[in-house]
Amino acid sequence: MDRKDLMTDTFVDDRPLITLDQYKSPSTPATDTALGLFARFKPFFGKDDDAPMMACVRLQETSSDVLSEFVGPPDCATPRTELAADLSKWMGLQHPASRMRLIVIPPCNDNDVIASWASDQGHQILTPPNRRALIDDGLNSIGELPSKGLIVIPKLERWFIRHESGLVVVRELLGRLKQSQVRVVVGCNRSAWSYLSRMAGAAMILPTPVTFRPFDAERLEEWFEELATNESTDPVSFRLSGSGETILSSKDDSTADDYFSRLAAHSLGIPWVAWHLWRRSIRTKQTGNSKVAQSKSRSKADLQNEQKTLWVAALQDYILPNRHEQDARLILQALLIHGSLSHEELSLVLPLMSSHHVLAGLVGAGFVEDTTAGLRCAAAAYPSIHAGLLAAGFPTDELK
Amino acid sequence: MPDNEEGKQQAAKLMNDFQDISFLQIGLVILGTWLSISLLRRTLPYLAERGPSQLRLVLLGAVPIIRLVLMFLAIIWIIPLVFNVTIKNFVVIAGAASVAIGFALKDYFSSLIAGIVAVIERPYRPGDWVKIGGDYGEVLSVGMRAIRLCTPSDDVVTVPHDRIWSNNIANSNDGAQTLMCIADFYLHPDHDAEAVRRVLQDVAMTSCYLIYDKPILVVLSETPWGTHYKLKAYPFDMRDQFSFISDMTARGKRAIAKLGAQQVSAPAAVSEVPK
Repeated sequence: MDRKDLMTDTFVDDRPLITLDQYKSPSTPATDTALGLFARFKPFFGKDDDAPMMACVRLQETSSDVLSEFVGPPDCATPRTELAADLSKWMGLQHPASRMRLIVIPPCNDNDVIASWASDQGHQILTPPNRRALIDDGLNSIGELPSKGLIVIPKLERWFIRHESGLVVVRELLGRLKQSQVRVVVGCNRSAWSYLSRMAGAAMILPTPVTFRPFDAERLEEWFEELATNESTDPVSFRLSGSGETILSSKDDSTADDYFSRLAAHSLGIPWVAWHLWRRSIRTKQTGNSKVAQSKSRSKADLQNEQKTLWVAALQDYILPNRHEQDARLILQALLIHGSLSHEELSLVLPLMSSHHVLAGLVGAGFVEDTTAGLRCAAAAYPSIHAGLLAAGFPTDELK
Repeated sequence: MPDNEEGKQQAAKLMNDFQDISFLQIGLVILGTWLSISLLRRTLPYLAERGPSQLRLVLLGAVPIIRLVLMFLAIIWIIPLVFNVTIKNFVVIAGAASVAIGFALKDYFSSLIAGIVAVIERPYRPGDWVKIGGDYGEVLSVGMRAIRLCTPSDDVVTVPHDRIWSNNIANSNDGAQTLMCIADFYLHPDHDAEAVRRVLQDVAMTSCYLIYDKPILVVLSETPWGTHYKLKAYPFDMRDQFSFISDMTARGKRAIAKLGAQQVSAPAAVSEVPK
């Protein structure tokens, strides 16, 4: 059974998707909050005797080859399957409650699950106009809507929604969709929906949003175990760098449960965020001269074991550059709402005079990825971004 | 002479015997209270600036209340250590104090009493944006005698509490996280007012400083020199109010120009009388 088949077998029940207000992020293990507080104050009271099993300085970032082998890119088969199940059920209804279906997608989604579903099914995808054309042409940039079949708008946030011209166009688009007689599937990221539902009256036009179920510890563990299973190479063991205990394929489930509960809570139940965090925390042992000297006294079996071990470092929060924090948050919020933006588009939605060096700082700190598709928030940084925006009082998606 | 003796005895009863007064205890109470208040005045504002913004005003507002409670407790603790507390003695002390306050320290004590009233009635709290007389700014601290305001031009203005007896106090946020911001536009009367209203509303809706859950209003009125538009909206953080107004003004001007409407300016001698 290949990786994709394994993934598709999981967790598809009668209600593949849930309504947005039912979404509840996995909770943090109770001890973690107390331990986090204790860790902050511990240095004031004396020396830290709880040295980690494997000191961080002896670990190095894992090469992309190894990561691709054991932490391969997520194919998002489970969300795809859930989406397909939900939409096929809805399409099968002769008289659905609404002829529109709104899917709210968790943020930082690299895989366009709705567009790929629509392509697979042969439905018409309404692509957003080029943003420059959208500003210049205004309402003319929408074009004629198809009068039959199913219209799919995979990413509503791509319509430059927090720009005066974009907002007018989105409002008009929603109005036309409301008046048309065809069925419509609209996808929208969570931050964009939080904005549009209030600013463009989208909540009055579109039906109750549905979203994917949160990925809890059990689902994450199962998923990562499948990703790590590779028939072409020797199996590897994953060990926590702090305690040295083995997770994944371990007989002691409690350690793995703790780790994956923490990961599920930290990633807010979003699978691709969890995957990026997991991939980011994988380390291998350093191979330097001192290591060579040490290895002479070791048995061959020990060395082979070391080569088959991947170390899992503790989850780390991203830290905002300590200057221009408010400007940094404004940039991150704009990127979350629009999915991705070019440098020019970013300057159109933000009034910042000094955004260039703040942006460079954010890219350097790992918050923002500067890709050919534009600037976008890094998935692994999303939990820190979300917490930072909430703490600073920004209006953002209200994850429970 | 008998009257003199009686007066001396009364004075002796008013206060405890000198050797019975525990000056060490009094000193410790004063020191402890002072230390607690100093610690409080540093830690709570520190936490308020670094913690979640939702807690900022709560933490800042707690400083004067806790300080008042601590001082009240300290006074209640010290008085029996010094005075022989009876109703008769209380009347004597109050009478003497009234004379001293009435003649010498009237204004100072008026401000202290007003400070206590201000802590209870809360016309302003630390973190609020208030206008007292001609001074507008953020309340940095609420002291026993006066408050300190930080104006938009970064001046610190000290305003005695006794201004609350005679002045109106305009509190822009009144303890809330946000306050209304207004961007003004003056247009030549010959334009499509509905289109301008719509476009100004969109300007506010697309500002990065906007809070989503508050209303946005565009109010217009005719003046002798043009049509006056007021774009009213709320930022999610009131500390961004000037950035928010600047953002709405800059983008509003651009949007108005795109519509083909023309902004007007009044001659320097003419100024609008605030309503």
